[in-house]
Amino acid sequence: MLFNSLDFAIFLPIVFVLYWFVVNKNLKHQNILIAVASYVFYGWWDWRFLALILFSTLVDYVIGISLGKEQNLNKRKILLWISILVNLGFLGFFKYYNFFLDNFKSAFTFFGSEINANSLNIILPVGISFYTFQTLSYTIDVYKKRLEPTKDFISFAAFVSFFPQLVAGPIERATNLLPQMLSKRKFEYNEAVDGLRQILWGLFKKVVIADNCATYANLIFNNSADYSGSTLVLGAIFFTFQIYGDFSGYSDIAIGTSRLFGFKLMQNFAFPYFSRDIAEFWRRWHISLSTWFRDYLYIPLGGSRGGTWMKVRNTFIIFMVSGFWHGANWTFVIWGALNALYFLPLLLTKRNRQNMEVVASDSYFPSMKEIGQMFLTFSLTVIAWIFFRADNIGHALSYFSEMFSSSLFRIPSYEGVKFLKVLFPLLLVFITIEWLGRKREFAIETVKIKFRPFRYLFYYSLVILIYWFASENVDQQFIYFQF
Amino acid sequence: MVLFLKRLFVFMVLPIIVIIMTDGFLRNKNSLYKEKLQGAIQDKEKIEIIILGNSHANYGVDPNAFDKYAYNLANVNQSIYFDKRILLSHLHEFKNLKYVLISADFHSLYFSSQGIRDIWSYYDTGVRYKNKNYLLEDISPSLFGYTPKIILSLFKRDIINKLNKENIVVDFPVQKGVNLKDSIKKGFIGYEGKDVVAFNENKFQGRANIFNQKYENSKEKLEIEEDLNGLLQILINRDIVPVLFTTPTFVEYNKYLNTNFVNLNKSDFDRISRKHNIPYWSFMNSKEFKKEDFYNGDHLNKKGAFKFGEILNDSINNL
Repeated sequence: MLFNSLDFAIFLPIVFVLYWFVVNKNLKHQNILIAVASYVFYGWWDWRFLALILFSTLVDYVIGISLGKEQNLNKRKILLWISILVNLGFLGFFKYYNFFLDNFKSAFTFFGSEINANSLNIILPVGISFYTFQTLSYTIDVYKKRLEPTKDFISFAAFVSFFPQLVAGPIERATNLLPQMLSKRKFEYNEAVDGLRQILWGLFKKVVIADNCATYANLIFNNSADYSGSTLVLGAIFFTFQIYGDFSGYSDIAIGTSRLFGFKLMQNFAFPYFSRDIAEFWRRWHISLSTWFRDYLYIPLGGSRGGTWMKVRNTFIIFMVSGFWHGANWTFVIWGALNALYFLPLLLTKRNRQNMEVVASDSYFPSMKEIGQMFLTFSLTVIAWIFFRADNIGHALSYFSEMFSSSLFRIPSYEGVKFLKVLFPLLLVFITIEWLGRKREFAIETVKIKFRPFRYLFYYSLVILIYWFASENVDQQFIYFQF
Repeated sequence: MVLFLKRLFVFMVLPIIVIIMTDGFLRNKNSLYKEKLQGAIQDKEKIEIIILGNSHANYGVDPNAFDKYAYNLANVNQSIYFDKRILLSHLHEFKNLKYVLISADFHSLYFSSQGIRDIWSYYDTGVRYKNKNYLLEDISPSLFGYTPKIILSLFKRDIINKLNKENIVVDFPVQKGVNLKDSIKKGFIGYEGKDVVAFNENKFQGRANIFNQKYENSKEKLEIEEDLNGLLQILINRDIVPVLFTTPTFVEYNKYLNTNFVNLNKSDFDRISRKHNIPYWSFMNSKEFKKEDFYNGDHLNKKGAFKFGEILNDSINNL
């Protein structure tokens, strides 16, 4: 079920009413409702994969309980590895089987021998990368004794499958979400209103910004050989906004929906395009994944505690694995490696934590230096996104070679792009609102319009834009579903 | 919770009122589809010839050029699927009907859906596209039927009509190039002059490519042909003569259409016409039509439409 679909618009109020008016007196019933609603939500795509979530839930539930009882370190390690192998095994099979097979075949062919193995026609279960990491966080935290294992299977199942963030995050930690599942929730007016506002802003980002940018980004990337360098720059910028609007929009809707049900999820995006360096960008982009890799991979590898070689190695590992997590394509790995290259100079010169506060935290406008820093960081991310968006490495390289050719200085113009009339004003409004709201969790968390009719007018404007563009750009999926 | 629901309700009141009012307006609005069909029903006793087809026939055949009483029931994007069902839903009423002219274009056998316009047909002629469920579209035309752009254009036309005290029914933006003050005569309203912007090689090529692609990607041919055969048989059984015809298109435009597809298409319609022993007339590359007869590469203007009407009239009289 898509957040920007009629199905969800009907589904959400039904679950909300049942949750707060029918089963509100009993926590267990509320959790059963969440679990059932989540399975319906997920099964709407393909009910066959429900068995996968259920199996993953059962395995981690049983292993969690066993880890709670078991004191022998070796046996605890075996239990942990069973969980890791099962979860990553599913992920590896569904997501990476064909990739590894094709690469092995290519490698063997390169060295002069052939292997006969056929690729499988595997459908990637939606959201598998997200819920796999979520359940893994539970087992690892229980193993590390940072969390008591739960005996309440229903709550655990609701935690694993919690529908707002099941298919595209934020990847919640068991230490944050599971205790909320186990304790009584009460309806908070302010939280619910904030939740609705966040849903509205998320829909705006997705339907108005991302989907409009997608139309042009797809056109330019799919026909990159036909366009001038300047148009390709524009295409890369469109994609940069598309992926941000798409993914952070999804996160906003997920977090906002959770708030309606009394849950507080972690912030997933903190205005990353206002970052002054790449380290800050990565503290603000897909926070739930970055911190997951930091806590469960980077730190166990030694983090930045060792010598220079160790720092370089660990940085490359975390960024490349992060890239690979996004998809079974070398373009994602290169995207990760490129970000590691951006990040390393900051780490090695110990300047990776110099911009911890939000930009221009004491003023309305950034300084010239900050503008320069933001522009540079933004430009670096735009370049990296080209690898992320390209179909394959050859496509990315040809995109670059055309982009940096003499046609870079031509006026970008081609048929079909309503850039000046539609997209440019929309992006301008979007960036302005994001800038004004950059100190908050999401841009319109506090709308400083005191007179209620005017405040409503602002919300109505967003609703109208969403309504308008929803019918213009039909069938636009969320990008991160494919991961 | 009470406060939350109260405020939510207050917030929702205005949009709900707007939606209800817009739905009311949309349900009662007139349109070219409705107007043409109602005109045909009004003239049902007189009509001897009905012209069916898409925009090529809609703008390209002037029924006023016929000696017999002809009526143009074609419409923009109207595929054979809709032609058939619109005609059959009222066929029993046309007691005097002798000929049905069916536009058999380059792409007619290759698409059945009108895309977004399926819903316009549903609202204004009652024809459903295949087994599509129109429950939501029935509940609210403004939320699930028309797109906001269309709704705005309908509102705009309504306001202009009210201000000028006119009753123009050509209220869809697809009618660019039409003089809105023209009245519809026998279902016909034509293009004025020439679309200067669209009359060049680039545009010809672009438009031809759309049809070439439609041809290449379509998997509907067998189904559409069967549907057409069904329509032809029904007409023949009622002693009505079906005539297949291909409208003239500008020679400079034609050269961008895939030649293999053009030849295949011609042989397909020849085969269908032989099967039913009915006429098939192709005017695709007719030398009778000059540059000044075309509005754009594949549509005749008013002048061309009258000329074409006369040619069809002569051909029918010679049958």
